[in-house]
Amino acid sequence: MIKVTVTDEGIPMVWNSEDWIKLRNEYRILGNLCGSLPDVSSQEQFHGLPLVLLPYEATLLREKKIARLVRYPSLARAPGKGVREEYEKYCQRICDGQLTTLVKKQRQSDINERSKDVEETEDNSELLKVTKRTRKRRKDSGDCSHSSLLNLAIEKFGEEELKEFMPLASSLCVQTFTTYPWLRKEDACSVKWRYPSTSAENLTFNVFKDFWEKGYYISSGHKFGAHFIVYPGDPFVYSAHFLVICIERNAAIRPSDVAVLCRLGDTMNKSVVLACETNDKITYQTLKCSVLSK
Amino acid sequence: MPKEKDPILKKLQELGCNSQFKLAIAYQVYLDLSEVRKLQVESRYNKELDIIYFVGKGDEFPNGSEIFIPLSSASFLSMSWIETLQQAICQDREGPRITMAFKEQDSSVMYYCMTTGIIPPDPPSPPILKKPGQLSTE
Repeated sequence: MIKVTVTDEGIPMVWNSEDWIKLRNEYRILGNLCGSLPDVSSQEQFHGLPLVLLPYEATLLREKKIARLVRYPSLARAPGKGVREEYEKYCQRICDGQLTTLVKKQRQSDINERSKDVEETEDNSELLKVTKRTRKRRKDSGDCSHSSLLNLAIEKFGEEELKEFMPLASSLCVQTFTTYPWLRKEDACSVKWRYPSTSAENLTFNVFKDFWEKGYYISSGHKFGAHFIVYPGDPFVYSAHFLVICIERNAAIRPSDVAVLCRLGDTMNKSVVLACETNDKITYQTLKCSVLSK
Repeated sequence: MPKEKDPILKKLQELGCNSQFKLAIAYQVYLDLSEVRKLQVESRYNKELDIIYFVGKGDEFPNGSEIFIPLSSASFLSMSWIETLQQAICQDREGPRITMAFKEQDSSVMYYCMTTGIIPPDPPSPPILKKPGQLSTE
């Protein structure tokens, strides 16, 4: 089951990329990406993880048993001794791996330079003979790696030189995590989720659920003055068809509101749909400008 | 000599509605539909809801005719009232459709359709091909 992390402020978030893909492709939950992609310069236009879910999306996932809403109180505390040791071992592994790669590259470039400009000195000719023998042996056995070359060079020139290539700690590449890598299953605690709690929230959620069950993709419509904007397929491929406004059954609608909504729909080439709840069922009215008004 | 009543107004009064306000709105909308829009207009009255409405016939409507509800721009609607109205006067139960005719204070009338259900938008009009050297008339 997908785990949705709820912050202390009550905002549900998805941090795992596989969960994000699964929610979008299999369950038509769009949410809003709000993070920054490190390689992209226009960070206000293209966003990355985490995915922020809207309250009705989180409630739907919980109701359909697709996701579990959890929080991690352990993240608010300083890491314990075990986690710190694990982290230090991890850093050491990363550091050693990078150093080995740096040394291999440097040694290989040195050896290449020396083999080009070589004068037949005793040391170099010995080295060349040895390396040729080694290369032939490695080629015969199918192993064409340069590790034997490296080891040989280190033996020849000594471990001391290895220290010259020790880079500064600040110049090493450091991995930044998008999820906490040392979380355990037992760290997840259930969350008291209280949405929807008012009649307006109930209406919004029921309308959202109704459209979702009909197979649509639904996103927040606040940019257009609506509750939802509804797509017939993935928003990457399709334009939206509907702007949905949730309205109480007996709420007053002014003619000027009808005029504004119809003009909005006409301009955007979308249908404006008013949704209300009648006897536990959602009913819809689609507004359009008449042909006589055009 | 008493002034004779307008025949259209007289005809609307004979439908049974006693509200002078509703009669005045209906009269203006009738004139707009018949004289300005050139539609064939039939007047009707629903006693239960105490509302005058019109059935306008013309080629511009998808089903050949349309139901018009004359309303003042100062009135208030609600979803429950609209649903009740649609059930009472629309014969087409699958996606009943009515057109609200809002009469403004300057006597202009604006028309907006309300259809039950989720109706997708009209497809975009296809591009018009122009011959080279010809100006577009659109």
